[in-house]
Amino acid sequence: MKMEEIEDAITDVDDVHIVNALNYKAPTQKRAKIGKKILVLVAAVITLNSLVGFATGYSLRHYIGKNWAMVSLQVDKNGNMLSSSSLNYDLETDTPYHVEDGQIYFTHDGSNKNITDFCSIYDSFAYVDVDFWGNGHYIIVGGTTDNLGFCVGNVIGGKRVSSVAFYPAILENGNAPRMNDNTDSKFYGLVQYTMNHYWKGAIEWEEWLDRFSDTNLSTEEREEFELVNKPHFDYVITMG
Amino acid sequence: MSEEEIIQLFAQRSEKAIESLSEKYGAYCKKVSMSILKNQEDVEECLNDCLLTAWNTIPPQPSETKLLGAYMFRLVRNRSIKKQRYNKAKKRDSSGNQILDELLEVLPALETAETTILVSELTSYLNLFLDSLDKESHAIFMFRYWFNEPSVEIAERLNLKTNTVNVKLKRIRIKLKGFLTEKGLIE
Repeated sequence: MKMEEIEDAITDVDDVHIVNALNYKAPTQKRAKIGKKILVLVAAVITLNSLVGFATGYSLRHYIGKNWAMVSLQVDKNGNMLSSSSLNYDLETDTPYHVEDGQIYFTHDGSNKNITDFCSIYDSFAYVDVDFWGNGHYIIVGGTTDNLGFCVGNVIGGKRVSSVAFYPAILENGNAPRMNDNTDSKFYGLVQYTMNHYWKGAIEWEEWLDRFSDTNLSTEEREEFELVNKPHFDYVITMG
Repeated sequence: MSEEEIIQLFAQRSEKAIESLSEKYGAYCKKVSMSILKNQEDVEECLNDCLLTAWNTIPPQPSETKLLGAYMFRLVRNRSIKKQRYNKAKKRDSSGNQILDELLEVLPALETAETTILVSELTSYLNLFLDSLDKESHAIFMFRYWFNEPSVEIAERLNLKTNTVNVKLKRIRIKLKGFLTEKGLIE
């Protein structure tokens, strides 16, 4: 097929595509501001003793938008988390939601479900997917149309092993929004825990990261760290 | 002036029809033509030809009032491409369509496909592909590959960053490749 024929094929697309493109109204949301709110944080704090065969450099995948983003976890021979790192995501192209005409749509699973009523500065929408291996992956979207944030995480072997939060610029009292969806109260309890611990103000996060990045924590420091960050057992469930 | 009013003027054979049509779509038609021809003189000639064609064909064209703009842009694009190919054949212009080159970067198999693919067949699949895109991606694809707009202008038009448009374009091209592969047009 000649290049010119390909050009002709493009030219010949239906008129409706020309009209629709010309009539397309871009969302009024000021996306540029969202980019400034990017904060990627990884929390992978609990021991992974229950996961037999865990090797150093184990990688976990996080849901981000339509793509997978990588979160790398370093664990020691006993499966204890030592460090983690993540990619910086583009909040303009990789969000699991889309805002249009003042409405928030959940796009990650292709459903385009209108979640506007679930989201506010206090409330959020939660999406959970259990993969083939029985591991849970969750996405939480909260905030308002001009101040949205989301949190994604993984649950493996019934324990939350990592999460990433992109929090809204404004959060009342630094607390994460509540969740409305209550399909699986135990699981959502765990997710709520994650949110309360990791979807907070930037200063707290940075302090936490400073400590977490130090892989030479003393036993005492690690115990203190885990005491603060380890999920309460009430929230630990078995997946699958 | 509305599209319906302009078409009425054409139906009445009023010379104001051409004036109104130019007022409404002239600037953008010029831009579309310039993006292909890159020569002011050729663009003027092309636009004059298109206005004459419009005078001779409206009505009954376009089939629907709301398609007047699409009809004009199609006239301009077709005429400009024809002129550009003429210039190229006469070696007056050696440049190709750089935006199309960009599309072919991910679709080399389409250009070299051994199986015969009809233009109409590819158009049908492009229509299906465009139907499958979300509104924003659809608009980005059309403004880039049909209207030949630079990504910086698309970004401005759609309240996006230029980089975002480029990332989205790349994803759309990959998606198109996957779509055409799935349909068996390319391997």
